[in-house]
Amino acid sequence: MNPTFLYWNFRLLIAWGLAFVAFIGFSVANSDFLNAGNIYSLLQSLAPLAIVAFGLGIVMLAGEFDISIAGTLPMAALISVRLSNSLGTPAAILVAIVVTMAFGFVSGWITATFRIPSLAVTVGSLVLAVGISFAIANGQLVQMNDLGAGFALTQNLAGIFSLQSIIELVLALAMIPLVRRSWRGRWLYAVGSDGDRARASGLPVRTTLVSAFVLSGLFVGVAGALQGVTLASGVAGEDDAFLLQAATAAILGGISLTGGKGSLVGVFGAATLLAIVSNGLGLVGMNSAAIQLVNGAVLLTVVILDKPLNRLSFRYLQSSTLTDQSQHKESHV
Amino acid sequence: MTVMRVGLLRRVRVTEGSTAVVLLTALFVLIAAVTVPRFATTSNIQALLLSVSLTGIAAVGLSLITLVGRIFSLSISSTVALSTIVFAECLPYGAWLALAAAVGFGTFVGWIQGIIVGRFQTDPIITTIAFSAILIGAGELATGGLTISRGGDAGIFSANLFGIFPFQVFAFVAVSIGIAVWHRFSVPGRRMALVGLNEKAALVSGVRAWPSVVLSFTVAGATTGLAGGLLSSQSGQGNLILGGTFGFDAVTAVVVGGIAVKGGRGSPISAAVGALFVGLLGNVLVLVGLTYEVQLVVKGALVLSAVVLTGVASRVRGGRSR
Repeated sequence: MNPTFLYWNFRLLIAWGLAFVAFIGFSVANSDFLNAGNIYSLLQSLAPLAIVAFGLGIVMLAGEFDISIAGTLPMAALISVRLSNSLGTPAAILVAIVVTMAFGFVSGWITATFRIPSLAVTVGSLVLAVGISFAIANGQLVQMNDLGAGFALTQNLAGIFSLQSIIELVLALAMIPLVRRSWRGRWLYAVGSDGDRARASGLPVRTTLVSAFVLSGLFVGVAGALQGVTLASGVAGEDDAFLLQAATAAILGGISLTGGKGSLVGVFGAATLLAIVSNGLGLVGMNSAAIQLVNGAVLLTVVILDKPLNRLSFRYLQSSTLTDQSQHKESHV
Repeated sequence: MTVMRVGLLRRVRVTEGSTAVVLLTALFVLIAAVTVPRFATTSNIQALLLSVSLTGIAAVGLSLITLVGRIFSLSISSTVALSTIVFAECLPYGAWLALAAAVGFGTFVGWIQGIIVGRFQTDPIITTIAFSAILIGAGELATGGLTISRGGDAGIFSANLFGIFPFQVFAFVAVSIGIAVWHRFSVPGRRMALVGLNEKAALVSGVRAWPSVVLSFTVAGATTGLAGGLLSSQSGQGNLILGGTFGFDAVTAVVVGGIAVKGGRGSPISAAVGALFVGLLGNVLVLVGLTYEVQLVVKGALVLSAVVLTGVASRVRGGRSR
């Protein structure tokens, strides 16, 4: 295999390889795994995870991180549920998405303008989002009357899909060529790998950062609002488990924590892996606490192995291209 | 060691975020004492200090992680939750032993995370998120999500010491002053500040980063365990739901206290003042008649603006961003 390709797509290959192994493993271990009904529920959990992980992945490509997802996701669900009784469901979903995009805009604008670490900024917006959620819920479980919308979204289409999973998957998959091929997508990589040089080259660094956060807000809004409508209820609080999964997917998929490296194809592979593992472990009767423990252990292993693995694949690249090293001066952290 | 000789007073500037918070807190107390009835009563002051002390203890420890340049730990809530369980499990063998066990547990958990973040150079936020998931998962498997109550008497921690304040308020004051003095005047403390300010400069002058990182996480773990143990002592019970808002309250206190998120600048005592300020704000908002939900929104807006203000302030003073 071409060593350059291997170096740049190392994590992507690992993620897809593991997803493939997990898929085969669970299909052999449990005959129910390949049921159309189970594949349907697998896609139902994969679609929101993929879309949120893509939003986070795009922000990470630009060299930042969005921790407020844990707060804006339940907030979007609450807003859509709360407003659907008065505005109607479509308008409520729209409002929820606009609010999360506004959150993304504020986080991105503060990060880009004042050059403050986005982790700190988004911890602030996380606390704010949780506060707003509690204010909306007012200490109660919020429920909606329009149950038809939820049924329409989750109705089984073509055996394994639903309107919800199709919307989310299409939106997510559309981002892959956009990030890979378009100018704006390339700007993300440029800003993420070296913001100062990108600025010196005349790239719109601030606009790129802000749009990355707004995109993340859009995706969280879509995932949260659709989740709220399908469950027809919402609880105030923070969804740490979902943030954990999205972060695991983005990092496992090969998006570098320092920005500028990775691809959404890898993130999709990692999200698939996580969805398969959660689904499969649930199928063999493991409880949710154990699944969360496994998720945490996977993420911890990945962050610990991150640097050694990177170094290993980099050495392999160097040793195989000693003749034309000048082409691969890629600096390595 | 010139820093020590410069003295405490000459370094006080109003532009410094932490000084601003101290002034703001004092001003706030004055205004509240005059305008809000029932504020300046003994029982209210006691309640205020009691509500602040546990968050404050955790925040002071957390501030060391921020000061060493590793932003935040997001496993505070889960460590507090598990510490309450450890405390409740050990309570039948004596209150002090249970407290020691809770602190020991927190220290151990913090130490492991410190090793991972420091030695393996992983991202602190991601590592602590992952660790938090492992802790909660393990705790839920161990307890089955149930409340642990094994009996035993923890009354000594809630009884008023010298007839004024309960033990936890004294613990808060002692921990804040102790850690602040240690951070400012001891060699390990100064190393932490240097690593937080400029890791490369520290390395060039022969100070490696990872021992300081491990130390900060270990101390933060110990204070978190202490907060968890004292929290559990109030009811003698341990539960995974206890400590839910601890993590963000501690982060809020650190940020509002004016400790620069980029590391190095600030003192652990600022985190204590930050905790006091947030508690004060909550207390006054309740006395004025606002609901808990509105308080949360105010708190969020406060954190966001504090992050921006300290960020801008450190940029203005530092000349350029790192």
